[in-house]
Amino acid sequence: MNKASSKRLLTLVEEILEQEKRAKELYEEYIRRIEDSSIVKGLRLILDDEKRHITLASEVLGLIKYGSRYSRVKNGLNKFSETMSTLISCGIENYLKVNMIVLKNLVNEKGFKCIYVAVNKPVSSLVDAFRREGVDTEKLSFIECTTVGTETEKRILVKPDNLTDVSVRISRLIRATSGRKFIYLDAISTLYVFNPDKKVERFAHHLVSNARLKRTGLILIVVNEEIENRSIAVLTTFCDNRIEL
Amino acid sequence: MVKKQELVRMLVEALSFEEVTVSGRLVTFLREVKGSGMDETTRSEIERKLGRMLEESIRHAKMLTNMVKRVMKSEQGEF
Repeated sequence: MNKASSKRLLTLVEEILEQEKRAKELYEEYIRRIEDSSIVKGLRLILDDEKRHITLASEVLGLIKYGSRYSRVKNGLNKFSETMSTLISCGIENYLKVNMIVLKNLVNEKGFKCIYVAVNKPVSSLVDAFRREGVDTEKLSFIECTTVGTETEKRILVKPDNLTDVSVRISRLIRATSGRKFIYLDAISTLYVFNPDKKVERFAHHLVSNARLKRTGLILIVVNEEIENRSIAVLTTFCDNRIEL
Repeated sequence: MVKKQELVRMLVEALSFEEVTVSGRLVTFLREVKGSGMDETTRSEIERKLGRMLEESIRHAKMLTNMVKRVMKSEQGEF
């Protein structure tokens, strides 16, 4: 699909989404004002459809923006819960899009808070990108694996070769975060650059058990080009679910 | 509680929104997605979702039309 066509379809579906939201508001207002039970009953049926239409139009928006990978990630996350660990393996070309799809689904739509462990990119550039795409960044706390920079309340710094420290910081942030939450490790495959394979796998095993024990969901991102198939297989056995893109 | 005349106006506004605005936009989208060159799997999923929205919007228009008819025939002054 060419860019002009994609842009035109995006504009159209955004308009459809706005219309569905307006329709929902309109019927809600009518139901508040009208007292006749048979009219209200009919309007409630239409309102239920309008709510579903908002979901459908949002999904179509995702499909146009991110292609079929959008459905695969979304379907894979359907049963995601606070005691579940999911491995998402993707090629480098899909990596950024996967971040957006997962965060929009779990944070914006399902209301989870996210403990984001950033191994690949500085938090400042991630926050800019997330805001541009409409991710609710207020629900995100960050642990940044880097060797430089200054720590702030919302940005905790750790060295990527000190996995014990990474674990400790994650545990602290789990305790400090109330409500439904999940850890998003972006990307565990990059930790193989800084650490021996066995050490990363022990860390991953501990993280999966610890997260489940503390009722915190876990998403591990693997960029296929960064690690060997053997390592992907090992990480897969630790997790409850794998989404392959 | 709303007066009969006001209720008819409200229902006709909703009817026009469903029949003209929403359905019109959905039909345009479905026509354009066909010639967009999008991959087959994604396109058929989009068509399925928006096709369902279109069917339901048409059903809403029918329901609203029946409501308008019923209100017009009724001797009730307020609803």
